[in-house]
Amino acid sequence: MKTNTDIDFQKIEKKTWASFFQDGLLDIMMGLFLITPGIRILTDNVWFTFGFAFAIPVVIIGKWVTASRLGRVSFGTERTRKVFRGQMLFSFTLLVVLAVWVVILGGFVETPKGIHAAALALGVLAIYSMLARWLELRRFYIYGILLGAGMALLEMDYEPAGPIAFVVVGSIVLSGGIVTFIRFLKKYPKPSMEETNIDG
Amino acid sequence: MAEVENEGIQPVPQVDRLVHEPARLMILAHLYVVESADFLFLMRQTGLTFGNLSSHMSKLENAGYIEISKEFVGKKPHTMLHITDSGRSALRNYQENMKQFLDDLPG
Repeated sequence: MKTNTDIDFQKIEKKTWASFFQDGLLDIMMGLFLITPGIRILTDNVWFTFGFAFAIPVVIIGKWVTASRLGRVSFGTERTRKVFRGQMLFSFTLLVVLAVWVVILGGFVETPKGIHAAALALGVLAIYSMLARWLELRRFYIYGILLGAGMALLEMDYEPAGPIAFVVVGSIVLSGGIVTFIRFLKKYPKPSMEETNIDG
Repeated sequence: MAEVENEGIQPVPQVDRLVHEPARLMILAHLYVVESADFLFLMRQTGLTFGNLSSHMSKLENAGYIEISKEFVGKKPHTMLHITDSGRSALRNYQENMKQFLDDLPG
């Protein structure tokens, strides 16, 4: 707010929405998504095939911790519609990308490896772009580029450059997420009973 | 509310002093853009202390600009706040009045 007359309601609403993603948990999840395929290839340890299995519980437990420190809010109809549109676009893109991948990578159409790599990279970028649009988080465009490029490198059998790139980039994203998470916990301590229910 | 007239220039619009106070303006602006929010969320968003927010909240509630209700999340009671229609129109009027007043200033 610059002056009392210059109230930018849109900006306030966006800031309020963005406050849900300032805990670093999505970055931790993205970091784990990037690291695990790299470790899987480098170590040949089958447990790392299921990177999602590491990332999703971390985010769920983390959200349980951070949500209670941030407070509760329900958004208005405009935001609800926006989120719905974002979810629909994301789901549609996901289905289209999966269909293209099944056709191209599943061997239904004979295509050179370069096309496989491009399909993987562009598909991942499309999915992450829709996610970025839905959540209004610009950094997801960057994550999409990083993950897409990594997938393309893996498909082109650039070993060990591909998996190493995954691990390095994933570690950077994960570290950023952990630092943000710790800062969040320090900035927003556990609320007292009085702060959630002011009349006791 | 104050009504002041500058002779021969232009009338100063009526400004709702209850809304004009920066902390209350911030509370109303945050509640304006959402359906409802709890006390803790408003504290985090506005950066106000417990005592400050509590005192401004009471003033806004007494003026009928916000409503306070209790919700249970599991077994924990939560104080939820939401802006009333009267609060919405007070904020809009305030913005228009202030804008008109500043636009009318010479030079």
